[in-house]
Amino acid sequence: MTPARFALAFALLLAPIAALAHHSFDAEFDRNKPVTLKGSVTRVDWGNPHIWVFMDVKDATGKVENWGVEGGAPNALFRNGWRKDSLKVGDIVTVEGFRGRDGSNRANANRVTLPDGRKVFAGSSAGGGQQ
Amino acid sequence: MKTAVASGALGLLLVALASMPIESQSRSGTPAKPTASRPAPRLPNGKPSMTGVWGNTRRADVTDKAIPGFVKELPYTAWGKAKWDGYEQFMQTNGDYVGNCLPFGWSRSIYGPHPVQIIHDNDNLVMLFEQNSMFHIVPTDGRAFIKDLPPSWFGESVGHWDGDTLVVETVNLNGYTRVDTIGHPMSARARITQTFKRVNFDTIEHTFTLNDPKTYAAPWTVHDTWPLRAETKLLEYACMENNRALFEGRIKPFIAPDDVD
Repeated sequence: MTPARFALAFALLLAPIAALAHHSFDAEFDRNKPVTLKGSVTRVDWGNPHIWVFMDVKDATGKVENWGVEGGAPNALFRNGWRKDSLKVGDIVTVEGFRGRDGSNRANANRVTLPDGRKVFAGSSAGGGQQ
Repeated sequence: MKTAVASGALGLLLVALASMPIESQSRSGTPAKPTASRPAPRLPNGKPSMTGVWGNTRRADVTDKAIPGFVKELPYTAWGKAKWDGYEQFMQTNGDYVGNCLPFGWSRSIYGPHPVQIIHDNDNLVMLFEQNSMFHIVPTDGRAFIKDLPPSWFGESVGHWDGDTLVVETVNLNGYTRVDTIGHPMSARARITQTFKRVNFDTIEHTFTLNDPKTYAAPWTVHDTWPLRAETKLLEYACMENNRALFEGRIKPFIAPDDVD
């Protein structure tokens, strides 16, 4: 990714997510349950209406749990320079988002940050995010 | 939900800035030639053709003041206000129809985050929506509504010309759709009037007017300017292929409301 294109994508990632939403945020997620997850990517499902990134996350006791986080619409991500393999298994990422209403290990991904600070694959269904 | 989405001004600007440079470049990376001075193309019947891929305006909230052409105030009826106030709870009991990959309907299709393509000839205007890979056909030959078609998500549309402006009227809606992502309500009594005016080769001026006396005490109108996106190709959007929200039960299966007629 060129610096210019990265800058564009970075701007996209900072957007309130309603701009990219497929369904209503409140149908699935709870904006009163913010969550930050750091872990290793185990799978990326690149498909409509949202991509999903799965990751192993270690909790405070050292127990590892697998989380799934909802990202943006693949067509919109594609037009902004991202590809199916832009995020790879084993990448260490930090996700900021909101937990699902059902209390499961599912969240939306307002921001996905790589260790070097690059932000990838945001743009899920959040209704306003943290911006 | 409401305040959060309404705060989207900066983000929408950033989204626009993020997507425009990429789509305005050719595959070789060189800027597309400016064509603003070119006149609108014409159909064989002499009327302006709306054919093209268009950068329709993203409106998650039609009252968002950050997006030119917004609605200043929605004049709710008591029924409409109750529907608006109760939307979050409604989705928990009846599900989110869009999250079920059901049709978005007119307004949520043209105000979604994905481009639209128009194919237009003397007799029909065909809207192709990338979102959910859906389409809607508008006869423009002056015919009347069939009237007894079953109500549907997009309704029945017919078009006629007012000079060089195409006027599209839509009735017979099922009342299940919402105006926008944030969930402004509408009912089965709604009548939609849209105008399409191709003011030059690269621009359509579009209006969306909702006349829905069950939901709003007076009609209201959104004004849009759509730039041509000649370099954009509509992509497939198979909505159910990865719809984990529904598969895993966080979005409930949709139950149609029974009070929208």
